[in-house]
Order: sequence, then structure tokens, then C-alpha cells
Amino acid sequence: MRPLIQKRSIALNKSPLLKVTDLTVSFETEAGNIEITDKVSFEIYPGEIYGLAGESGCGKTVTALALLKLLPQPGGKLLSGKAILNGRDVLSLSPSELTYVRGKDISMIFQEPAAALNPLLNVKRQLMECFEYHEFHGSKEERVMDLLHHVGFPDPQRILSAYPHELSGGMLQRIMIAMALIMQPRLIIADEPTTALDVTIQAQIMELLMEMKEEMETAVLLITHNLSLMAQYANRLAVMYAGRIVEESGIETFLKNPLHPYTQGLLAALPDLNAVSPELMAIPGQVPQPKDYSIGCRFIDRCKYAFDPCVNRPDLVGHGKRQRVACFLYNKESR
Amino acid sequence: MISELTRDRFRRFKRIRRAHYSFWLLGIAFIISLFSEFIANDKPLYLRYMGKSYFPVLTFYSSETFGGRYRTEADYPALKKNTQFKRHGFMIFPIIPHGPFRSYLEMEGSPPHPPSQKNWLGTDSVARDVLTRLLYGFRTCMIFSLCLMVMGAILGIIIGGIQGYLGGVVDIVVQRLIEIWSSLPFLYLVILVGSIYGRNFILLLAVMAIFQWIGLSYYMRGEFLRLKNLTYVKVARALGIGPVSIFFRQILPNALIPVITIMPFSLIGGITALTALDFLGFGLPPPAPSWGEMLSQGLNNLYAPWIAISTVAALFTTLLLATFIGEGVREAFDPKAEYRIE
Repeated sequence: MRPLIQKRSIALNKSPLLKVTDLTVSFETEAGNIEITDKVSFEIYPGEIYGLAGESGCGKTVTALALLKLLPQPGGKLLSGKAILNGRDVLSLSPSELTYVRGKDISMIFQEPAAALNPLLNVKRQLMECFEYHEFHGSKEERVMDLLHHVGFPDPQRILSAYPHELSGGMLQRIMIAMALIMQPRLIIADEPTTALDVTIQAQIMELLMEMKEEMETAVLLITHNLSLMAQYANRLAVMYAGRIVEESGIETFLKNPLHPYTQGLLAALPDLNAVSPELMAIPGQVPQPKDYSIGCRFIDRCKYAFDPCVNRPDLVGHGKRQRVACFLYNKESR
Repeated sequence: MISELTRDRFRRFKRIRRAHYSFWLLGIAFIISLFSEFIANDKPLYLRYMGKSYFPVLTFYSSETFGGRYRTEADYPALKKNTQFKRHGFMIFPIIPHGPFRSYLEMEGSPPHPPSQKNWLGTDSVARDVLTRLLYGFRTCMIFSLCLMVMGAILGIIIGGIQGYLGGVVDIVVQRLIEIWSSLPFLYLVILVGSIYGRNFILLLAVMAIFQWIGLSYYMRGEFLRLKNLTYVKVARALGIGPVSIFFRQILPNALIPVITIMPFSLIGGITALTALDFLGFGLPPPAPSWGEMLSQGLNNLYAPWIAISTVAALFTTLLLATFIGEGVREAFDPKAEYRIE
């Protein structure tokens, strides 16, 4: 097990691998178009683990899916935004160019390993399928065997001929990781990679992901609502609330010095095993429904510091060197 | 590579005895009918003449070969009675020594002849053997229906699949076009096309196939709409797998259950449709042996009940067997069957 806080800041003076700006996604509903994410902007640097935290429904997964243009159809629509990778905007690529980026530059690990493999195809066919669409030099068979061995299958040959229903959740997730790594992508989007697994397997999978990341020098966009997972593995993280990033900081700063009232509330709500009183802290109130999203700060109803300027849109502005926060408490000029 | 689930379905199909036996019965009957020429024919299987062997079922021999006067095909039944021939050779006829087009107008009495030692199910109004015609008719209508079924399945899968896979505007537009298309009067189209281009097997098949797929396309559209949003399809897309691969390899195998369950019923539909068209006289051109044409003969010759009775019995049996198969397949592929309280 990793120590909870570790010196994990990485050099940010390199140029970013992926630069996302103003990503806005809307969904068509009976109540009209609803903007699920609102101008989400962030940068991911090579080799880092960038966490995206937030409650269910805050727009984490939608952000990730939008990056690969995999928004659920019909309904999902990209209103604005850019995602610059290699100097190209991934979001404006044609479908055929996109096929090349998916899997090769960016690949994704999904939440439910049990549903992520086709029940009618064996592991080998599903792993080998990637090669049909991407250039690969060298022995494909060897690459697959090597990867399977790496993700912890002592006997890859047996796994290759297996069908998904013959494997456990942990095994499937390891296969998914192998699948995502085949083409050595530069960014892996891991959308709640461990949610469907039990705690011991969870740790194994995360360790594996870390190992693979270091070996292949890929960056990881880790999406989870599990803050302790973040604390253990992320280099930097952004907290999303109701479709917006409310705070972004390095992991140490995040744990020691959270700025946004929501982030403070989140950390305070974590149960402390050493605490005398067993009482659970909770943030009062409810997350607003997407159809009730307002222009102003969306945390306003639950915030004890709320004051007049909060009815305006808070911008995500820098605070100190490596922290950004969207709150008028810290953002005096734009009040 | 057959998955456990598929094997389980086969096992369940086998356990439904009625369906299982029907499948074998109909299957064997069809395979036998493929060799109709060797079972019912007015050409001998084997002929020996002047120390040489001949296989008239397979090849053409002129009458001259066997000492006749003409260069047309030898009339084997007549040849058999020829004393000249008897001295130099012999021939072995199939079990039913009648061809599908041979009329026995020279026989005593007027056609249709009642069942006799020679014609087991009697003859029709032009003195052709009913049993032979039934056998050949069975083959025609099975081949026709199987072709129709396959063509319908292919068209239905592709059109319905594209609708479901692409969704949105394509789906809505194609759906409206299908509605317009399906409201075209099928029978008039068959009559029109038949009268312009002449009636033949291929044309009739084509005309029927362009209507046959519609029902299946609805199911495929639904399946594709449902399956394309499943995680493994998303995973495939996220890994850069192209749309053609996703369509055929990721989604289609999972969407095949409605196709398989509908197939036997579409076979039944094909048989009935062809029989009905032939009965009305818009189907295959005469003198092609067909059950519909025999039914109409039966109706026109009610005093010769052997025509109608044997045709109806054959049709009834075939449809019954196909229905049993369809029922069994549906049962075997029913995902809820395991949970059904018995």
C-alpha cells in the first residue's frame, strides 16, 4: 500500500500533453437542451495522473466521453470546446481521423469490466482487433502475450481462448487495461476503473495501472468519486461540482489547504478513524438537478459563506502557483 | 468456436422432441428431394445396350444411340417395350418411373386417372403422375422459400442494422420510406412484373424478397439501437475499432437471435406465398411442378379427389413440421425460459 501522501509533484514546466478548453456538452431532453458540463478547462502533462473528482452526475464521465467523441447518441452534443493533443484539436477531427486517435493516442478504461467485453468473442479476438485499425510493427501475438503477462496472468495462452463469462471482474479489468495499453497510448482515460471491484482487487488494479503508467510513460486521466483513491494515486486533481470545475490543485495542496467551500466540505465529510466522535459530517442540502443549473455559483444554496457576488458566474482563476479555484471568496477583482 | 450459451440452446432445442424430430424429418425430406431425378424419373438410372453402359439420368442420349430413327432424346419407357432393344440390353428405372413432365395420355380412360399400381397417387388432368409432381413441387417450393428466407434475412439485417446503428435522421427517413414501400400492393406488383418481364423463378424470388425483409428489419433496428449503447461497443469505439467491424463483429452476432427465431416462420411464409401465387396462376410458369398449380387442378377436378387430397396433405405436413421447428427454436432461444416457473 502506498503512503497516503507522498512527494508526488511532477515537473509542470513541460508543455501539456492535452489541453482542454471550454468544453461544454449539452443533452437534449424533454425539458430542452441542458448543459451537463459548463466550460470545463484543464491541462494534462505527460506522465502525470490527473484526477477528476466529483459526485455522481457532476459531469466527470461526460467530460471523458466527450474527449473521445463517444457521447451517448442520440442526445449528447458538443456545444463548444477544444482538446489540443499533438497540436491538433481532437474534437474537430473527422470520423476516420478519430479512429486513428482512439486507441492509439488516447484510450479508455471503463467502469464495468463485466460489460466491457463482447460476450460472444473470446479474449484473443478482442485484443487482436486493435491491430486491424492501427499500424503496429513487430509480432502482434508476442505483444499481446507480453501485455497479458504484465497485467498479471501467469498463463496468457489460457486466458486468450477464454470467453468473458469465464473470467472474474478483476481478471476482466486487467484484460481491459491490457487492451487499453496495446498501442502504447499517450493518455489513458480511466473512468472509475475500480468501482465495480472489491477493495483488495481495487488496490491490485490501481497498482497495476501505476506500474504500467510508469513503464510506458503514459498520462492517466483518473475519474473517480473515491477521494482516498485520489489521495493515494493522483498527482493533481480537479474537483467538479454540477458541471463545472470548482477547484484544481496538486494533491498535497488539495489535502492540506482546500480553498473552495465545497472541497472543504468534502474533505470534512471523510470519516476519520482516529476521531473521538463517530459523527459523520455532511454538506447540508442537495446537489442541484441539471435542469436547475443556474448561471451563478451552483454551490450557493449549500454554502455557508455565500454572499452577493455569488449570483454571478465564478471564473476558475489561479490562486498561488498551482491552485485554481472558482469562488468569489478568493477572486476579489472579478466581484 | 461455439460458446457455452449456444451449446445450451442446441441442447434445449434437442430436448423439445417434437421440434427436434420435425427438424430432421423436414431436413431429410429436403435433402432427398434434391435428388428427385434419381427417385422419380422417366429416364433410367442405368442402361446397358450392346455391351456398353449408359446413364441417361445424367446425360443426353439421342434415340439413334439405341437403334432408333431420330436424333431427339430417346423415349425410354417406349424403348423398354421395344423387342429389338430387349434383345441387346436392359435398363433400370428409379423407384418411381415417371418424369414430372410426362403425360400418360395413351393410358386407358381419360385423365385424371385414379391411383393405380402404376401411378400410386393417380394422375392429374393432363395425365402426369401426381406423386412425381408432388416430389418435384416440394423441392421447388423449399428451394424458393429458403432462398427467399436468406435474401430477406440479409436485406433485413443490413437495412435494419444501418437504421439502428446510425440512428437519428437516417433512422427516421428510412423508417418512413419503409412504411411507404410496405404499403405497395404486393400482388399487383407480382402480376405487373410477371406480365412485363415474363414469369420465372428468379424474377418471382426477387420481387418477393424486396418485400420479405421488412418485418425482420424492425427487429434488427431495435436490437442495434439497444446494443450500440452497450459498454463493449463503446470500448471498441474507444480503442479505435472502425464502424464496419463494430457493425458486423461486435453488434451483429449479439443481434442474431431474432433472425434465427424468425427464420422458420419466414420459411412458412415463403411456402404459403408461393403456393398461393401458383394457385392464382401468377407464380411459376407452367409446366413447372408446383403445389399451388396442383391445388388449383384439385379444385377444378373435384371428382378426382386424389389430386387435392394428396397435395393438401403434403402442404399440411410440410407447414406443420416447419411450425414445430419454429416453435422449438423460439423456445430454445428464449432468454427467459430458464427462469420460467414450471
